[in-house]
Amino acid sequence: MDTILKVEHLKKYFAVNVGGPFTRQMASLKAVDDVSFDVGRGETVGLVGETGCGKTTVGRTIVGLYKPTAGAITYCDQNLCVLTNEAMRKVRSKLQMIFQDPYASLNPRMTVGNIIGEPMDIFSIGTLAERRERVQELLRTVGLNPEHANRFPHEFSGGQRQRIGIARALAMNPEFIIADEPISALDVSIQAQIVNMLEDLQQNLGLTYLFIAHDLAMVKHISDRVIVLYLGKVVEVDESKDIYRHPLHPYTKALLSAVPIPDPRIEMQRQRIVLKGDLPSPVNPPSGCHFRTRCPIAQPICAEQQPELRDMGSGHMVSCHFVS
Amino acid sequence: MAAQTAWEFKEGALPEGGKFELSPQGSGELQQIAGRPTTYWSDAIRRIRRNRLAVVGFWIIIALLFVAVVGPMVSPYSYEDQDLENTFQSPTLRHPFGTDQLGRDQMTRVMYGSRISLAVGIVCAALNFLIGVTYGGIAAYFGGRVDDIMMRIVDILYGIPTLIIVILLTVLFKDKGVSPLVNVFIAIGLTYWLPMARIVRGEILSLKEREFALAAKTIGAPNNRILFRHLIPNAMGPIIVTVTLEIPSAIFTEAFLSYIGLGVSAPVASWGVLASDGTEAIRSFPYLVLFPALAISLTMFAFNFLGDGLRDALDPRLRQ
Repeated sequence: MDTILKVEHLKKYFAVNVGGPFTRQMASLKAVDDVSFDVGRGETVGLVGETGCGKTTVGRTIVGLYKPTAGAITYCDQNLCVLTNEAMRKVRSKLQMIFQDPYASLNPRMTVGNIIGEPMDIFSIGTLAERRERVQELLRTVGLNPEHANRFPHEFSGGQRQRIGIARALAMNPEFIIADEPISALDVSIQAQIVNMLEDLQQNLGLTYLFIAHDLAMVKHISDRVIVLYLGKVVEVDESKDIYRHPLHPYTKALLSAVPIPDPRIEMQRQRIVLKGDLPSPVNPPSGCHFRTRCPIAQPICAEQQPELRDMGSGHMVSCHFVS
Repeated sequence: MAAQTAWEFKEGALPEGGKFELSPQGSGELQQIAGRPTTYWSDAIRRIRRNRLAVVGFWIIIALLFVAVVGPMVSPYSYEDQDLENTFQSPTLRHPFGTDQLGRDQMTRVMYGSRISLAVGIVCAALNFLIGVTYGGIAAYFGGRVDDIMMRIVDILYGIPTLIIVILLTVLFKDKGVSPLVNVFIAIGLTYWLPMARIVRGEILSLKEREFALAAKTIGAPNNRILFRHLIPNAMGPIIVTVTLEIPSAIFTEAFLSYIGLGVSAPVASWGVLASDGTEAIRSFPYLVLFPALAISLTMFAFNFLGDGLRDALDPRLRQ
């Protein structure tokens, strides 16, 4: 499988003011701190972690909404970080994004047809009639009525809006789609529809997904591989069928223990690992292993040494001192 | 039990077999229950129609525009023709607003004055759109240092009173053959886009972080497209409200400047000049100040009512 996207030592720090209302004291919020992974063509990679762990920042940095502080993002042998704005604009047509909130991601002043057709409009692809034709085709692809192209986003339900967002992402025939929590704002019944549609699209159009989510059951369903993020760092990477059965990192174990099991008998016996404390501030992360403040098996070494991401065989990567 | 009988259906009240029937349309397509699609603007128009004062204001402005364009054309008198045999006439059928100290028809002069006032209003609105919206939009969109520098310039210009600008311009253009009206336009041009720039900046600052702006970026939209196609149209509500509230203020500034002798001067008749001339004879001939003053107040009220109505209608938080 050839690699379509390679992220190496990606760092994204945001400048934040930690002083009081009248004092200015800048610090850097380490949203993404040295993250590396790669995505193969046609693969679906799930990116999971709790709120504030840097999932969205990783996605947005890859599509170029944020400039990375350090590191390299290589897409199809092209380093995106060194591209000029103009060159980046061109690459973006192959690298698209689906947004989390279907209510905020569509311009309320544009008709659905204009929203979906805008990428083609920007890159002057085809005549007006051809673009209209393509918009109709895209609407059919995502299961909407092509006659609705003249309506405005607020006339659609959440699930339909998300379909519009997907149609827009598909307009330029992308190869790679970053889905930033595409289903978390939707009802459960609609979530299933959207996920099924994303899977169908992947089959038919040969797409590659980076699927960002915090819903572990959904990630397990859709992903080939899963990357677990904690406080801006990768803690574990594995094939999704394996990681759910044999999680190695204590954080992954705790995360997975929180997934309810749809069988009351097993569910009653399910033991949850409840992590103590809150997510530490990414402005001032713990020394050594970022997870040590909440880790049930933390030892003195964890505060002194940062664990490396080690390969435990067949691509199962873990960053913990005590996993062997 | 007697109490339960109340719950029983009367004979024949239920359809046959006690089942619900499908409606005739039910077998075919879904029933069309959606109303006419309401867009942002149709919704706003519906709400502003309910606001009687705003509607009155709107029609007064339309009438004013009509009078300004057509009035001086159909009037049998010219604004500058003197008739020294008929000075200081009280309102009559021939001269509905009377005549002034040189026998000029006051009604024609007031109608002519509305041209100047509306020209001032239009210039103000145009500059608001051209400079204010673009300036505020660019400052907010690029943010950071660009924003800092651009908004400090606005702050500095804010600190200079309009009156001082006009006096300086008057001195500057004194013998250059420049019409005093140009001074007024430049002064209004320099000062009246400032509040608009601030309001647009505030709007764009919040809009640019919304996901649809990010989405526009990911599909490869260039900066000017994001700013002018995505962000500014979404700030149109506050922009229009600001314009309708800035226009009367500009008109009033012109009237005031003319009143104190810094604006247009005789024989050109602006409302400020007419009011100023009228006050000299206010004891003997009060109608000379009454009509221009009425025209000024009416215009102020009309624009302010419309502006308030628009603000209520376009503010999404007040939506019903």
